[in-house]
Amino acid sequence: MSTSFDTWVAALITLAMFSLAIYKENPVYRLAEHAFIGIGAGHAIVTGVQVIQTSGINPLLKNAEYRLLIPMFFGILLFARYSKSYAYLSRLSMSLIVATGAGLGLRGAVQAQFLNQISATFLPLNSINNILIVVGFVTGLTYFIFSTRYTRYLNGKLSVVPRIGRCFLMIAFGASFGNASMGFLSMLIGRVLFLVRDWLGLSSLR
Amino acid sequence: MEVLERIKSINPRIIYVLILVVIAIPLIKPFGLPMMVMQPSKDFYDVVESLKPGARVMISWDYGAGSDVELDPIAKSLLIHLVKKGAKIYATSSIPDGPMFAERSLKVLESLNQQYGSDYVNLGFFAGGESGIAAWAENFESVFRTDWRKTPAAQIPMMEGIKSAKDFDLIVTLNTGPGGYGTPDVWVRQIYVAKNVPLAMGVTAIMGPQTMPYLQSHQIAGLLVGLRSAAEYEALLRAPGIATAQMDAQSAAHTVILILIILGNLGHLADKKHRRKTSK
Repeated sequence: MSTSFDTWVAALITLAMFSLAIYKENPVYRLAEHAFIGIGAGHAIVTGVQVIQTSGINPLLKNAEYRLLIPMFFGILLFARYSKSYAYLSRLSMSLIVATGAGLGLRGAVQAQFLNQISATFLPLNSINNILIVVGFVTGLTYFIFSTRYTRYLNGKLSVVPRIGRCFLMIAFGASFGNASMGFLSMLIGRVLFLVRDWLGLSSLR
Repeated sequence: MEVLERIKSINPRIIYVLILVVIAIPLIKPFGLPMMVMQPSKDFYDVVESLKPGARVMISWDYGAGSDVELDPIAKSLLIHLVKKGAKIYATSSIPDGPMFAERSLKVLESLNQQYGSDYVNLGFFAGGESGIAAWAENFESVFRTDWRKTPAAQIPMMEGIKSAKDFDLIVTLNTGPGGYGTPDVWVRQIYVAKNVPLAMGVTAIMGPQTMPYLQSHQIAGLLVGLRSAAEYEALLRAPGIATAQMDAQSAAHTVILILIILGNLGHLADKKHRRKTSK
């Protein structure tokens, strides 16, 4: 069993988290939960301050990079949100952030998330995988066409197409759910590994 | 029949404890279950295998606590493979917690006699998410002025000649998904599309189905998804380790869950039959 104080704290916090499932919501669980959120927020603030120091204050003072005063000014304006009278000033910075983000995102999104992915579905129908991708893509898209009723065409026989699309969508959701459950189990495995290896010393896995 | 009906109303706490025990056993004594290596893992392995000695590889630890169990084993295997290929490793992160996890993973390099500053470097956290990636992809020095240990970039030998993302032979993001600041979509947009630099990803299992289309459309060179891919990578390196043992635990837990689902359904059917009988 571990003799490290840190390991004991981490193990007890892990057990406190498990107590929610094994027992019920309790003060020990809530303490551990709040500590987790508090530590995360505290760490993010410290890292943020360090970034401002290394990317902003240090180059400004040591290298006289006065152009950095512009982003710093807009950064400070964000804090105007806390004043009712000057809250409008923060919108300047916010609009700059949103506009830059949207501009940068759009530059690649059309290519990465539309054109390249659509062209990747134009496949020769020479293998089961390719056929599945093409059929799944076309029928899946038809499921989202709401501007017309399929029952009007070919005595309503076309309505089978979006139904096939729905099956593909369900399979995709099933795959996502399966992967999600695997991810949650992995987290549990991580904590159990910590308890049996680092705390109890029962495992030699490294 | 009575037993099946009782199973239906079993206390969930018993199931939780059972799962905990079933997970713990293979972690104490791994079974070494056989595993098939999937194509995306082979693709990732081949990309690293094709690197020439001295190749520059950037790895971004875009994950924090909660995803480390899935992505740490990927990071470890990848680092070992990169050292075998003689690559230079540049660590960074788009989320504040990332550099700590990077530092923890990079410890494996010390045991492989790699020198900090000439073989690998931890550049720490870069702010701004997508804007941050676009900034250093265009002008590296504008974002990475010091490393995580506060050493000025100019004093780090392996930083010489790095001007933009194009100076890297491969960029890898170990990504936790939407919770992070630099999501897989962002990396594809700013690294592959904007700069045409080879990009590979290691993501959590939950992100797998969302990132797979990028592999099929050849926008990323390789994809490792969660613990399973980590175990597959260990198999490709012929060095079964922690991920392989954790996959044993994963398989054992899933087997128990499947048995419980079957028993639960049998219990439900038995209960239904019993109710029909009593109503008659």
